[in-house]
Formats: sequence, structure tokens, C-alpha cells
Amino acid sequence: MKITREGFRLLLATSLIGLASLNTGNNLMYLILSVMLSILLLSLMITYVNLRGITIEIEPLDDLFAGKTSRIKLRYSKKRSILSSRSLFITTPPEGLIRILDYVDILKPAGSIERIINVTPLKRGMLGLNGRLILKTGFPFIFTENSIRPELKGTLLIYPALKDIDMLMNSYTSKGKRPFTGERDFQKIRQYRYGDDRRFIHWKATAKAGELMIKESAIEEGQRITIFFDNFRPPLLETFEESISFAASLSSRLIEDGYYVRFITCLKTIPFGTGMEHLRKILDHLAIISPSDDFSCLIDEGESAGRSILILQSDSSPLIRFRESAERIFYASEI
Amino acid sequence: MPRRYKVLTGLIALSGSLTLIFTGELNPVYYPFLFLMIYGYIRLIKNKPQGSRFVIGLSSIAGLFIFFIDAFLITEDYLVSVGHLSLVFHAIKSFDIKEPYDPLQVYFMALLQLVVASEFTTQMLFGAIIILFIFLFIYVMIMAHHIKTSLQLGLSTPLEARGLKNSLILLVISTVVLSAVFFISLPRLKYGLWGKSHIKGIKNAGFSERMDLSSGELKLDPSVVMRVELRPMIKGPHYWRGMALDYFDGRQWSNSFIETRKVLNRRGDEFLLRTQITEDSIEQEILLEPVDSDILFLMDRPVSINITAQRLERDLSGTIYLPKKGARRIHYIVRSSIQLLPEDKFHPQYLQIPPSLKEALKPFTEGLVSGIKTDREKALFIESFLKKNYTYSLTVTEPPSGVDPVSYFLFEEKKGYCEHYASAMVLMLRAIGIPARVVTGFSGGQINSIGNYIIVRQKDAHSWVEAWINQSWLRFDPTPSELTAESEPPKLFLYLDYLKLKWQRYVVSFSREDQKRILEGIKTLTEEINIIIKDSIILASRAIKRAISGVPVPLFFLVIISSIILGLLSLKITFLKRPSHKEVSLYYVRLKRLLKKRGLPIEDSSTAMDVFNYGLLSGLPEEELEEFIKIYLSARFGEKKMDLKHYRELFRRLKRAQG
Repeated sequence: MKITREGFRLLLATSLIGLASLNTGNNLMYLILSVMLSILLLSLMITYVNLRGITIEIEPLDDLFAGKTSRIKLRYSKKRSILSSRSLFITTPPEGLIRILDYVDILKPAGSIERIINVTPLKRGMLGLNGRLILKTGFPFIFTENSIRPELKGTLLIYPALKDIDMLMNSYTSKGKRPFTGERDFQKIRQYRYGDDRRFIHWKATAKAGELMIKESAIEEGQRITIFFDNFRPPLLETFEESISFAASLSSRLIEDGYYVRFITCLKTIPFGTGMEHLRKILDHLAIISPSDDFSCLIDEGESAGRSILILQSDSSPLIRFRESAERIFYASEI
Repeated sequence: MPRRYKVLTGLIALSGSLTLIFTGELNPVYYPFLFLMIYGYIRLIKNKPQGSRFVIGLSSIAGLFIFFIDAFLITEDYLVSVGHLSLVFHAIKSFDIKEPYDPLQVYFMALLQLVVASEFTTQMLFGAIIILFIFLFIYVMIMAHHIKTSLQLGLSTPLEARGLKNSLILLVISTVVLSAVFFISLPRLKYGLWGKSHIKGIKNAGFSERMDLSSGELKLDPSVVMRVELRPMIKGPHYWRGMALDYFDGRQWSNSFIETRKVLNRRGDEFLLRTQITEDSIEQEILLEPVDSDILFLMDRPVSINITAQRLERDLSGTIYLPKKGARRIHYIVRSSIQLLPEDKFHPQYLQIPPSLKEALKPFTEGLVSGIKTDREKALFIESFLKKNYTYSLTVTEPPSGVDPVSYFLFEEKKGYCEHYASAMVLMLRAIGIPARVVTGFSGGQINSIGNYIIVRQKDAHSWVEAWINQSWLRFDPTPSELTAESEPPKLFLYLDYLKLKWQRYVVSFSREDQKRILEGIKTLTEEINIIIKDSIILASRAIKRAISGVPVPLFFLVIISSIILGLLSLKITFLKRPSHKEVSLYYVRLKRLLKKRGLPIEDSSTAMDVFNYGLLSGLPEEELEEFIKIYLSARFGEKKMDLKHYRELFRRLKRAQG
């Protein structure tokens, strides 16, 4: 609960009237003083009661990308009560990944309101929602303000910004190309690798070899691509963020073009896959990826088989060893 | 800024300024600023361009300059000057409202005007304006809130404060009620601090501390001087004694006992005038308007006076004095004895008469009362003689030079008003050796049948006679009373005056003693409630005892326990009537069991879709099964209201179909 600048002025005026009333003993002055005190008290009481029993739920209607305007649904509910809540101002703290600004004129007792608003997240990351929203009101006057941070469940995942990578990738991918749907011609049987589609396990060969073997088709091999993303001790955080954004954009473009994309970082491997769900898996990882300090950066040498793109932070990265096998190498500083 | 916001701002400025003007304390030279202000707000509402910063600044400096001249050289009263300044600043501000926050200055200025006005007036109109101000202020503050929120939201057009009628009404009522609570409970000092009131007393009151018989005309001013509640209400005419005048210099009467004033003994707020307490008394609750006098008006033979005053004084003539002239309305309660009480011995001053007058009056009066034995009968005869043989007139001609006004009245003019009658009688009595004095005060008044109290006006100012007869001062009124009869005013007037009385009594004159009385009232009420509760419990326990006398104790307890169990059961039944989570799931679980009994692979982990599919396999009707599952899901997980009756019916149908 806060008294505003106007509230302080009213309080000062009320105090002066109070002194004058005591001094003169004039009952009409006492009457004015009483009115002023009532207005102040009512302001405090209503501002306090106005925020009681309100719950908020947030549901993103679109995937949230940094810098891109997306829609989220806000659902306001009020518990059974005598009074409606009026003039509610919803905002977020100045720090944080996302700016939300909304206004609810009236929320009736035991009622709820759904509002869809546009938000533009500032940067990627995972946002724990609890305490992230500020519900504020000054109703009915301008003398007092009350704000609470309602309990909210869940988190919001903000993906890195997707950028136009045509300049960098024109020769590599072609925007708008139809996704791969061709025949799966048999090419060879090889060892099963994490992420391979289990539907294509060759059971006979597996039985003979004593380990999982998989059927590989010619077209599939051409359409498989691995992105090695270097998150090992980036020299500059700015270029690191740019490289994340690039990796996300690249993944999106390749999947859009029908590629089976595998995404490997020092922390995690996302197996081959395609389609929106797969892209989300990559984006989920990129949304929260942070620089790794782990010297080991354990990525199996065997993972370099097949087509791959390497996104490096610097030459001192342990991933430099995949340089030879990579089709393309991008340095974060050059992106 | 919304148009309504501007209009309300203008109305607030207008209400503040008019309140101040209605007090009549401001110099009319400043009135044109009111019209200038109205013009400014009309321009504002019509979205005309506002004044330039330079002109506004210059006008403000000029306004301040005028204020200082006004305060120190012209009015020499800072409060009046502040009132003048507020009118000037309102006018300037009406041309300088550019930002949404600018009107705040207007509201604070209007508030200041109300505060200043409260020092100048005690009229009921002020109360009406306060309520209007509450309404306007709350309305405009709600709008200001919406404007502020719009600015925070970065909206170019302010949010509309829609559907706020109920909120506004509720807020106004709450403010009025809360204000009343605050007003009653705010601590008050008994006499204030060092502030002096600016309320001016009624000027030219009919009552005067001196009586000059040479003045030519008596004014009939209807202004109310006091309102009196009599307990019991006795029949009139009523006399409200002010001052007794003993010395006549041939033209003027005056009180030569003023210097004999002594402070009255007190017991709390009660001032005691007599040691003998009489049972037969009349209580007078008087609300005296601020008159330009320090004299208290009351009925004859006062026993005690209850008043919030630092002290009261009384002189040898029986006149009661306040410590200072009544700048405020005074509320006091007087008890007067009905019986004649023995008085102190009279002073020889009450036989004073100018020698020339004595020469003329003695043979005249003696001739009149020859043959009458007692002083009382003589006095009554003179009273009757004057009433019958002289004409009451408000206008009298001045006596020629060298002729005293009493002789002129008695022997030449033979017409006059109360002062002539009273003076003549007193001097006639003195001429024949009966001590007498002129008493000034108010007589008569009008009974307000609505509130059952007496309204005393300036025109009721009166003079009468007191004569020292048989060790007591007896009252005589030689003035003919025919002219005092009046027709009853319209009912509306009586209602309004009744309201005025209540306003004056319970708002303007509200005091610390009233607060004490309210507290005592609350205490008594609480005690009474306590007694009632205790009595009820005792009565109830007695009744129970009587009812169960003869009933064995175990049986009595059995009945009590059974009643409790039955009560709890009925509560449970009521509770069960509401569909709970348990009940919502109950029939669904039963359906699952039914399907399981039919050999279908229903497990605890089976989903609703599984139940639906297996239900279809077992031949349940699709439509009803689907509806049943939908109702279950929406009630169980969607927290929607369920038609329990229909849900049960669906289950029964499915059960029947299952065979």
C-alpha cells in the first residue's frame, strides 16, 4: 500500500485543517476535516479490498520468440465477494524478459474475464511466472495505490529471436522448398545412433551383431544434418546470443526445408527429427542454453559422421575437432 | 481531458467560490473575478486555447501583490484576504488548465475556500454545500483516477469511467456516514486554542445594554436570536430576561451595577445561582445566535445554568454575563424556579429619579393610585392604566428640546413602544416610593409546532418592569400586547427552522459534552443489552428447569444428544445435496465397475476415452454414453455446474441398457 504524491498533498491539507479545527474549535471546520479523513480512509480501504481474491492465469497462444510480437491469454478471476474489483492495472517489473501491460475495468464477484494481449518478449529464456506480474490499483481515487504480485503457476519459455538468414544460407537451403517426402531407398545397415528412428531398426542384423543396427535409406542420409553448437566459454556474451539466435533460425530453416536435424551442444544432444515438434525441442534447449564451463564437452567423435554444420564461438573450443568433417563452419563473431 | 472532467472542475471551483461569497464577508469589488472564472471555464469546456504562460505568471504575481496590500492595508484581516485571493486565483487558474493534473490545484483551492467560509458562517446552507462538494469531489476524483490510469497505459484518449453510477452513490453514502462518525468522534478541546472566531454577531439587535428613549423608530427585524426548548412547555407569554437597568439620566437608562459582577460558583459545567434547590422548575435549552452582547438570556429566577464556558458572572441586578461577547452560537440549559424565591434586599438606587421628573410624576401617580392600599395593587393599577390609556406605536416623534421623553410620552404624545411604557411605569413607581427597574430582553416568540420549541427573533426584543414588592422582584409588563399576536407561518418554514435548530444544535454547537453524552449512551445501551441477555438466559433456564422437572436426567440427556445427532445428519444431508467431487465421480466410478463386471479391461488408470470406447463395445447407447462422459469431464475437471438430476438419470439409463 502506497500513498501517492496527490495523497500526501491531501494528507498535508487534512493535517492543516485538523490543526485549524483544534485551534478554533469550529465545528464546521471539523466537518470538513471529517470529510477529508473519510475520503482518505475510504481510499485506503477500497484500494486494499479491490485487489482481494483475484487470481490470474497466463496462457501463451503462440510460441514466444524474443523480439517477436505474440499473443498471450490472461484469465482474471475473482472469488465470491460483495464488491467488484475495478480499474485493475496489470504490469510486469521493469527487469525481466517480458513486458505485459493490461487493464481490466471491472471484475465482478465470482466472475472471470479472459483477455488476449500482444506481448513482445525482450530476450530468450525461461520465465518462472510466480510473482512476475504486478496487479496494481488506485481505485477509486488518486490518493493511494496498492499492488500485489499474485501467485501464478507455470513458466513461460521464450525462444531465441528467429532472424533472416538468407544472406548466410542461401546457397545451402532454399526457402519454401517442399519438405522431404520421398521414397526411403535402402542404402546400408549401420550401428544405431541415439536419435535414430526406432521404426527402422533392422532386427535381423541386430540379432546377428548383438547390438542395435539400423536401416539407412539413401535419401534420408542426404536429408540428415547435424548442427554442432558450441556453447563452450564464449568470449563475448553478445556474440553468443547472436549465435544462439542464428542456430535457432538455422534449425527452423532446415526443418522447414524438410531436413532431419540433429542438434548437439556441449550439454545436450537432440536426436534427428523433423517437424514443428522437433523444432520446439531444439528451441526449448536454445531458450535456456547457457555458456558451458565444463572442460570435457563430451561429444562423441562418431557423431561427426554425416552432414554437419558447426557453429563455433572461437578456435579454442573443444568442438574445433569437428571442423574437418563439417560442411559449413560459422563463427559467432562473424554472424 | 474529458469534457465532463472540465465541467466538474468548474462546478467545484464555483461551489467553493459561491460558498465564500454567500457568507457576505467578502468585498464585492472581488465579485467580478467570479464571472471571469465562469468565462474561463466556458472557454475550457469549449476547448478554446488557454492563457499564455507569461500572462498567467504575471497575473499570479499581481494577485499576490494585491493580497498583501489587502491583508496589511485594506481589510487588515488575513482570512478575508485569503478569501479574496482564492477568488482571484480561481479566475486565473480557469485560463490555465492544460494538463490533466492541473485541476487538482482547483480542488485544493475550493477546499481552502470552504475552510475560510466555515469561519464566516454557521448557516445550514454550508452543510448542503458540503454534501454537494463530497459528491462533486468524489466524482471528479474517480475521473482523475481513470485519467491517471490512461496515462500509465499510454493511451491517447482517457478511459471512460463507465457504469460507475452505483459506485458513486455507494461512495458518497459511505463518505457521508464515515464523516458523521469522524465528526462525532474527533477529539475536541473544550475552548479551542488561541484562534478567534470571525463570525460576527447580529448587529443592531433589538436588545441593547443601554436604553435611549430619544431614538425615533423601532425596527422589526425577523432575524432569529434564539431558539428555546422548554421542559415542560408552559403557556406564554415568555420573558427572556437580559439586563436590568436602574439609572435614568432623563434620556437614557443604564445599569450602574455592572462593576458589581462576581464569578458564579460552578459544579463541573453547571453554574449555581442559588443554594436552595427547588423541585418545581422549568428547564430551558437555549441556542443563542451570536449576538453583539455578552449577556445571557434566561427566564426569571434562575437556579442553575449548564454551559460550556470558562466562567459566568452575575451583578447585583441579576444580569448574567459571559466572559466575552458571543462570537459563536451558544448552547446552554437553564433551570428556573416556578416559585417566588426570597431575594437579597433591594438597593436604594432603584428609587433613583431625576428631580424634575419626580416633581411631575409624583402628584400624577399619587392621584392615580389614591385609595389603593398595597404596593402590588398600585403596581397592577399603573400597569393597567398604561395599557389602556396609551397607544402602542413603533414610530414616535422626538420630544422637543428641554422636555424629557417620559413626560412627553405620558402627558403629550401618549403613544410609544415598550421602552416608553416600561420607563414610565418604573419612574411612576419610584415616584411613589416603590423600588423598580427596567428589564430588557426578549418576550414572546413563536412556537414551532413541528419541533415544539420557541423561535425568538430580534423583533421580539422587549422592555418590561420589575418592582420590589414583598421582598421579591415582581414582573409587570405595561406594554399593550395586542400587536404581538401573529399568524402561524407556513409548515415548510417551520420544517426548515426545525432543521436549522438541529443543524445548529448538533453540528455547529456540537461539543465535548455531547461526545461524553454519546459515550455514556453507548455504555448504557451496552449495559441494557447485557441485562436483557442475562435476564433472557435466566428466564430460559428457569423455563427449561420447569419443563424438565420430573423428567429423569438420563432421558433429558438422551433427548439433547439425539437432537444434536439429528441436526448433524440434516446438515450432512444438505451438504450431500450439493454435487461434490466425490459425487461427481461416484456415478462414473460405478459405470466403470459395471463395465469391468462385464469383463471389459477397465483399470483404475483407464481414461474417460477408454471408458467411452469400452462402453460402446459393450453396447451402451452412444449418445447417452457420450453425454454422460461429457458431463462428468466438464464437472470434474472444468469445474462447471452439473445438473445432478440429469446426470443420475443418464447413469440409470445406461445401467438399464447394460441389463
